[in-house]
Amino acid sequence: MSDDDSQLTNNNGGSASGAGSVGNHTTQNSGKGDEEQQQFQFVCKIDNARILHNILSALAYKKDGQMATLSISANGLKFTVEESNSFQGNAFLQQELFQEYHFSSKHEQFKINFSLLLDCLNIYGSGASFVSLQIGYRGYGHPLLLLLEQGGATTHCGLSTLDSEQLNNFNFRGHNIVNKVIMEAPFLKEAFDELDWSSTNATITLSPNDFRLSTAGASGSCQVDYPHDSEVFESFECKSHQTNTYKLALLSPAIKALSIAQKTQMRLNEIGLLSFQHMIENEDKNISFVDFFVAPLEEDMNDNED
Amino acid sequence: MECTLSTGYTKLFAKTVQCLGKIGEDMFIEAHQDRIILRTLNSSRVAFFAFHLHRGFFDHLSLEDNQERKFAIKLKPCQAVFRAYDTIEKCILRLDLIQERFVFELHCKHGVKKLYKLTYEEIQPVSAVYDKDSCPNRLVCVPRKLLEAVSNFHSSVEEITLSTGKTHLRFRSHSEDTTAGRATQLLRTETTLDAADFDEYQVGETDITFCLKEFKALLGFCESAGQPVVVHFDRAGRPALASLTYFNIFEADFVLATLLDPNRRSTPDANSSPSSSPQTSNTSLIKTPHTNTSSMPSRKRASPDSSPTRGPSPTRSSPTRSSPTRSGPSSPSVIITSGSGGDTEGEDEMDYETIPLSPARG
Repeated sequence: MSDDDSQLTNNNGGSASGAGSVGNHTTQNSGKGDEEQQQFQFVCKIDNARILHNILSALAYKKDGQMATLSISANGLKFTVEESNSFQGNAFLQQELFQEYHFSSKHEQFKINFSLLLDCLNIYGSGASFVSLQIGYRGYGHPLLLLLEQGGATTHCGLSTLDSEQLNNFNFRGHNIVNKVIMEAPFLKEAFDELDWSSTNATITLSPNDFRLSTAGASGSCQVDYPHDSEVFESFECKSHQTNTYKLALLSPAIKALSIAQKTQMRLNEIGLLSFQHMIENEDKNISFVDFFVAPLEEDMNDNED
Repeated sequence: MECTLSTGYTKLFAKTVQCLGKIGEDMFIEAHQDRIILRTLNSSRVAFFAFHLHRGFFDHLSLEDNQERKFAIKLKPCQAVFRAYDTIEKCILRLDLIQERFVFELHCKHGVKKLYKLTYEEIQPVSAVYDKDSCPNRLVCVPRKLLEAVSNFHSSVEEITLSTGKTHLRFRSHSEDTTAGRATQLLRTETTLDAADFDEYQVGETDITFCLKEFKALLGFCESAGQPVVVHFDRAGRPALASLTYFNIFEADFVLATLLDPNRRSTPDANSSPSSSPQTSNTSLIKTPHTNTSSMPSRKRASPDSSPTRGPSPTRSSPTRSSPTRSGPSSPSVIITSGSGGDTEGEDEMDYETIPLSPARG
C-alpha cells in the first residue's frame, strides 16, 4: 500500500489482501518455490506515466479511499468504478498505449485502492515529464507493483490487491438505443456548468427537436436548450422524446472527464439508462475512451415516453 | 415588466451583476417606465452600489399596466446566469407574475437557449440619498490608476486610508488599534499618487478610511466600463462616493462608509446598540435605524397564498429628503436607506458609522 521505495520483492505477501486470497496464493506458488523467482503474469511499460494518470483521473471522484476494479486482458487494462448500483465508470487502456505489454493468463480481475494508484502515478508531481512506468503483477493474491522512474530516480510502489466483487452489468445494449448525440466536449461542459449544482437532481431531455438540460432548486430553476440543428452537435440521432431525471451526485463524476475529453457521445436507451462516452486524445496522439453509465431515478422509468 | 438588453450592452450588464455580486446578497430591482435601477447593500451596510440603466440601454422596456415594480432577487444565482456572458447574443429579463419568477431568457451562440427562473421577493428596495455636489473634495481619473495603486495591498487588508494633500494623495493600509485587542498589522503598505495623475484634482487635506474589497470591486467595474471614475468625499465619518457615467444611458453610484475616527474606533465585535445613545451630529451618516422604524416599509414575500399587494406601499412616497433631519442638524451628504427594517441593526459592525434609513426615492 505504500508509495515509498521498498523493493518490489519485499512487498508481496505482506501487503496482499484478504485472508482468502493469501491462502490461495501460497498454494498457487508452492510449486514454484522462491517468491522472487516467480514469473510475472503481467508486465507492461509505458514511457509517459502522465498519459495514464490523465485518463484515470477522469474516473476519480473521491479525494481518497476510492476503490476501483482492474481487469487485465490481452487487449489491455480496464478500470471500473461503481457507485450504489446506479453508476459505473470504465476507463480502457488498450495495449497499444503501452510500449511493452505481456500477459500470460487469460483474464485477471481484482480491486485496488484507486486513489493511492493515482497518487503513485503522480509521485513526481504533475509537472514532471518523461516519467516512465512499469507495472507488474505476479498473480492472484500478489500486490500490483509499480516502478516509476524519472531521470535516474526510481520509485517502487506496491498496491495490495483485493478480491473483486461481481461488477454490475448495465447491459446498455440490451435495450434499444433510441437517442444518441455526439458533441464537442467543451460545449457539453458549458451546458452542465450552467446547472444549479445545489439541486439534487437534473433532468435530461432528448427529443428529435432538441436536447434540454434542466435543474430546479430552492432559488429557482435553470434550463438550457440546444436545438437539434445547432452546430455544437457533431451528430444528432434522436428517434423519440425522452425525459429522465438523474441524481446530480451521480452525473457529476460522469461529466468530470469533459474537461479533458475532445468529444463526447451521449446515449439513452429505451429504459432511460444514460451513457457517456468520452474520447480523450493523449499526449502521444493515441485515443482512449472513458465511459460512464448512469441509471435514471425510478419514478421516471415508467413515463419516459411521454 | 419585460426588457431586452441591447446587444452591445450585454457585457456591461454582466459586469454590473458581477460587481453587485461582490458586494451584497440581494439585488434590489426597481423597474420604472424610463429606467431600471439595480442596487445592493453589503451585509455590514458600509457599502452601497446603485446602477441606473436608462431606456437607451435597452432595445425594449415595458411595464405591465405601467405599474412600477420593486423587488429583490438573490445575486448568487444571478451571477451564474452571466458567467459565460461572451456567448450571449440576446438577453431578455422578464418578471413573470403568474409563475412568480424573475426570468432571464438568454439566446446564445449556436442556437443555445438558456432559461433561468429565479424566485423573487417584493420588497421596498434599499436606497441611498446623496448629493455629490455637497462634497468638497473631488477627483477624476481613469480607474486603472487607482486600481494599480490599490492592487498593491494584500488581500488580507480590510481597510485602507486615503490621505489627500495639495500635490499628492496617499493610500495606506489602515492599522488596527491595539486597544481593540488585536495585534497591529505586521505588514503596512503605503502608495502615493501624484496629483498630476488625475484628470481633475480638487481636494483639501483629509484622511478617510474605507473598506478595500468593495473599493476594488467598484474600480474593477469602472475599469471594465472604460470610463473615468469620479470620486467625491468629505471627511472622516462622511461617506465617500464614486460615480461613473456611460454615455447618458448608464450611471453607477458607489457609496462607501468611512470610519468616523480611526483612533477612537470601537472593537469590531462590540455590538454597540444604536439605541444606547443618539448619534451625535458629526457621526451623521451613520446608523440610526431605530429612529426610522415607523417609516419602515413592510417586506412582502411573493408567495401564492400571501397575495401580496403590489400597489405602492404607503411609505413609498414618504419624502426621502426628510431623513437627514433625523440624524442631526448637520445634514449628511449621503444617507443609505434600507427597506429591510430596523431589526437588522444588531448585525452591523460598529467599525463604521451607520446609516439612517429612509424609503427608496424614485
